[in-house]
Amino acid sequence: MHPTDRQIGDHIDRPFAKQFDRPIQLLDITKRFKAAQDGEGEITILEDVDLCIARGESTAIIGKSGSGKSTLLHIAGGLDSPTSGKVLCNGVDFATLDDKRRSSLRNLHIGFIFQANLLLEDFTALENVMAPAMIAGRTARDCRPRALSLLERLGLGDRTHHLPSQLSGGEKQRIAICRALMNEPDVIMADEPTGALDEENAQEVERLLLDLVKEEGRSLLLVTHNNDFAYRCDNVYLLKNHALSLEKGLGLDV
Amino acid sequence: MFILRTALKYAFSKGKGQRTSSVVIVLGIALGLAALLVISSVMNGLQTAQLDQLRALESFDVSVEPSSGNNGFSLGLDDVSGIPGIDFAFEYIETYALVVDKTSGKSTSARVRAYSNDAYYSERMAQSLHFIAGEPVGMDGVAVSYTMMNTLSLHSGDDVEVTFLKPGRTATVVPYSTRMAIGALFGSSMTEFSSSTIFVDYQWLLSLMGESSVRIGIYTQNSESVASRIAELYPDSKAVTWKEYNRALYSALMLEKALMYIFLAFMFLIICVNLKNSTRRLLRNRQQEGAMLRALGCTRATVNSIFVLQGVLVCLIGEVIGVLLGILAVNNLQALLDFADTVARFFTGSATVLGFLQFQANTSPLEIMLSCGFVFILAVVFTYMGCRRTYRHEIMEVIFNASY
Repeated sequence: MHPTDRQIGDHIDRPFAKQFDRPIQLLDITKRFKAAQDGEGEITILEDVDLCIARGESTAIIGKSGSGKSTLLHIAGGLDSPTSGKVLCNGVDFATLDDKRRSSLRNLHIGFIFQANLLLEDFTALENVMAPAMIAGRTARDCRPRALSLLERLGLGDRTHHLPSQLSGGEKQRIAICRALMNEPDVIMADEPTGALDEENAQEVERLLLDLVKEEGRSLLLVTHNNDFAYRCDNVYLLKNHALSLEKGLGLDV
Repeated sequence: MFILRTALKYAFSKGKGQRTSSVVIVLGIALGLAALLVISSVMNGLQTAQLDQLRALESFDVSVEPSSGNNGFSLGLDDVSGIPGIDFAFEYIETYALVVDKTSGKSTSARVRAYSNDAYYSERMAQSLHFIAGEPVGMDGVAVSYTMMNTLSLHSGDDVEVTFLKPGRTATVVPYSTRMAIGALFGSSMTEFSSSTIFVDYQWLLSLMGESSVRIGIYTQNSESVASRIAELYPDSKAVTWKEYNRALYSALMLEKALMYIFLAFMFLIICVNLKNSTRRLLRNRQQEGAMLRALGCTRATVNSIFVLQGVLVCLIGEVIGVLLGILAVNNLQALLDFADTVARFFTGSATVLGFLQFQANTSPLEIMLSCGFVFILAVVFTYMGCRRTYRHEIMEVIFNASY
């Protein structure tokens, strides 16, 4: 079944997305980079990688630094293109979409959390959280209640009008989590969300992220160095020698 | 709404040195435009003043040479005065003479002019031609300028010998010499005119040169249409506009104007380079955030729109300040020159030429609009090109790589 233009990234057709029990599927993904800017050689990062993210489940990818975990996550989220292979988001191949539809799909069905929280510096905490909804075309008045509710749930009710520069690292990361959840996406993709935090803040963010994802019924694709954090997920994959191997859980065949 | 809101936030944000960059761009555009405006206004003013003087003294707006036939003159002053669009018309005679001071033995050739009585007191003429001593009407003798007095080493009350070329019975022209006292002293705003012209009484010159030498001078705001109307009504007469009369000088002035625009274009080029570098700096400051917006679901077009709008806002503020600054400077040019003179005097200890300069600035709204329009278009084009170059890469490449 192929979705129509309207179905892609459209709120009205969210039930359409729900038909897919695997919101993200990676099929035979290979990613190579040029060795240098003007070099002729290539470095292989991923080789024929398959991965399925099940609806409502959390999946972690672990591996050494430079193994390609983040690259895999970026490809899964449509932020980077694979050299070969397909990335399906609710059954739609990213490669077949133009920029507008691809952006809309990313906006409504995927929420990102990065290691360096990457908040919008000139936006307050509340505006940062509301940004994905406003990009989707909703008014500030429309999306304010959900944004405030998310901030309250993450203990940031008194920080709504603070700029990122006025917040601590842990608070910033919690805002990034709220922002990722704002549009009620099918999948949250988190790239080392606790990598830049101290232990106390890291544990707090881990707990909040996992709890909130479960409460909201979202899928989670997590990339981390932290094995404790990773093994609290439903599935754990190890990325080694450009390929994935299942370390915990049942996994899913593509 | 999100685009406008974000662009407004980015335009003068405190973070990442953005405000400094924006202020530098605003200042660059403002100062560049103001300088452009002042230079073009002063140059336009100088040209306009020069052309105004030419039209008032040298050639008038239209000069008509009535042809004479068996039935007398083809047209007279009354006929011309009835033509619509004419502000003022008068009769005049022009011939050439040799002026000799017998005492010093010095001589110079001169153009001799005589205007019908009221012409000297017409508004346009009176603005450019001033009689310092004596009266031009009913004058007994000749009116010379200070410049000519110096040339011939004359003194007030001296006599000069003037040799006219007048129409002869057998020959076309014959010389006629007479001694004339210096009856009046005049000055004009055109040095060239003053040094080469003498005035005599109209009736006296008319009796010497005859009626066939009478021309009609016309002041009008629309010389072309008046000249063509005269040519239409009186085909035997010859109407010459000030542009035709001063063709060589007019062409030179037009060439000067073209060169001025080339010069201004170079200034514009400097503004362009400043604008290009500045918009690039603005984009670089926001490169990561732009990519982040894309990760959140903004399309390339939306991100481009945000940054183009940001550039446009900064540019518009610069333009408004620049135009206001330029107009303020143009309107207070003399005060600025005096101030510059005071500063220069403070450092050099002596008077400078700045204190003597008199500029008549003439601001052209069309030139202002064109300059602003070009700067605006360039700001949009440079920002858009910068955005395209930056965001053609994959989102993650832009987020993690320092600059494109």
